[in-house]
Amino acid sequence: MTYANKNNSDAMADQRAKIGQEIVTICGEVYNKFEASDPINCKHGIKECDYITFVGLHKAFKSKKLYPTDAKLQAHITPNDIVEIAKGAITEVKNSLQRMSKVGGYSHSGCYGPADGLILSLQKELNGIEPLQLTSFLKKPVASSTRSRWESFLRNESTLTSHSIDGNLTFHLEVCKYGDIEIVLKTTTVHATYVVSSHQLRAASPTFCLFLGTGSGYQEQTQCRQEQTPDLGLNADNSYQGGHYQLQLKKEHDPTALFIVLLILHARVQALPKKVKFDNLVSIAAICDYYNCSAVLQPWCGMWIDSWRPCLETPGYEDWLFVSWVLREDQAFQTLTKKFSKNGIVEDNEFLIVVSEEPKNAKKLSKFIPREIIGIVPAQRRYMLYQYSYESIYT
Amino acid sequence: MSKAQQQLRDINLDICPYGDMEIVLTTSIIHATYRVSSHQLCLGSPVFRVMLEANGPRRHQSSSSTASDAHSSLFQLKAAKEHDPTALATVLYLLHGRVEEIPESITFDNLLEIAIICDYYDCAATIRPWDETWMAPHRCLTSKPGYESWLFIAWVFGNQDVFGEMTKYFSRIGVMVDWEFGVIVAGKVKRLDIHLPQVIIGMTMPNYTNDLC
Repeated sequence: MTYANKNNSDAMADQRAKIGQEIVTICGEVYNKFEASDPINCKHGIKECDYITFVGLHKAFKSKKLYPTDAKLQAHITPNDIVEIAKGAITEVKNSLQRMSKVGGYSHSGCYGPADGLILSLQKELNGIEPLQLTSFLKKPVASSTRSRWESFLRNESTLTSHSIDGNLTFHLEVCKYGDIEIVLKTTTVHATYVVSSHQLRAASPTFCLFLGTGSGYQEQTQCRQEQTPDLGLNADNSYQGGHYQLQLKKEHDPTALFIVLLILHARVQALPKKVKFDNLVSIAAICDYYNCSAVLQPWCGMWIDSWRPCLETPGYEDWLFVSWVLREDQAFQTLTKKFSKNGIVEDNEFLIVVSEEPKNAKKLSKFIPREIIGIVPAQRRYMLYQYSYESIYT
Repeated sequence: MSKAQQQLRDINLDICPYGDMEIVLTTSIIHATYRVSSHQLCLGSPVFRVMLEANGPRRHQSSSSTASDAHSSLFQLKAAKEHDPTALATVLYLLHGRVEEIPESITFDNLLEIAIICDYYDCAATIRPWDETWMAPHRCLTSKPGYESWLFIAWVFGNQDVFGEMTKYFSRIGVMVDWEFGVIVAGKVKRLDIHLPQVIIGMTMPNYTNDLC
């Protein structure tokens, strides 16, 4: 028994020596870390470094209730345990070093010592600080949401002038204050006039370039260019001259969608909403397609599309195919053509999508979608059927 | 022409080919001329509106320069000297709605330069939605040393998340030294040249200012 004990205590001594060695190495490691993180303090701070190390060790031992002076406990600790604890202490020290480099110590004496930093109980107090609210520092107070901002913008911009003779609403919208032409849109319900700058339209859209370019055959346009003063048609009192050249749009566009597109072409994006209704998105896509300006609208359309992505395959959102085609959403386009070639039918020479089987309900695709795409979808379906029958017969 | 001026790199950018004025930016290495449309600038930025509208200095300039030859008859506006030429070009392109020239991602330094210009001309809303696209990849850098300017960027572009995070972070690491704002990085005080209004800095660090007073 005694022999064993003696042997045991010898072994313990060996182990302790081993542990001591281990701790010295670890302390060296800590010191190196410390030096790397704070070279200035390290020069005169070797004592502080020791201090931190031992504070860390002390803490670690205490937290594990394995205080080394306790002889009884000591007997039960294996060297591995102590190395583990020492490693815990190292992390503790590392953490406090990290905290220090974040907190920094500011004392009245003007010293930023690591000991100060470690002891700073400020940490707790500082964690409770509330972040500042940005809105209280903005130059102009903004409305609570972008949606309401857009609505108030629409209210301010659109001057609802009158009901014309046939009961239509008449709008006069100034997209560009110093615009040199007017776009006139007459739909069945709305008669809208947009004051725009022809330069901006030509820069953004090839279609407008054709209408308004210098090589354009439109006589009014050539005249409009010749008469232009170097100041781009400004009067002395800074108002635009009356009697702009008016460009009549033959196409039935959605007035709001056209307004949004014109605003983006004129870089007046300050109040644009972050989300639009799906119907509006389809109308915007139709305008993009007609004026060939999807590249300019890309960042905005991308944002609006993202909010409607979950509805990709929902019945009632068949116009997604058109949107994905105009705005080059390849993935969505593939998914939809595949789906439509499965549940599409041709009736009376028209391609319909079956929305629901019972009661039977089929829907026409948007009229904007080019014939080629609609033509390919049934062909794809025929090919699939052919392949299926071929396989079932010959294999 | 003096030797120093000859060494400048001349750059001409037609931001708006039919523009009616030019913005001239002369820094120590570059002499850049941007042809722009004053109308677009007025639409996008209240600062340009004040500078260029009827009773501003532009009117006097255009009436006095009628006698000069056709080439230089364009009104020239001198830009603030310390602006970054590339960042200024980016902002001007966006004010003209020419998004095909705009990069999808930019470095943090460029983002800062753009924020400075947007703040100067008060046109941060015009570069929507690009600001969000540009800010997203740098979002993870908010609390790293060396990226203290995030606070300014967040303030200019109105990003409450980052702004709150940064003010909270600065109230921990920020100090006022001789009435200048600095942060403590690895035990050293690093002074920051940030363009923030004094009121935000004051609010960020009430504790320290109280201590010093």
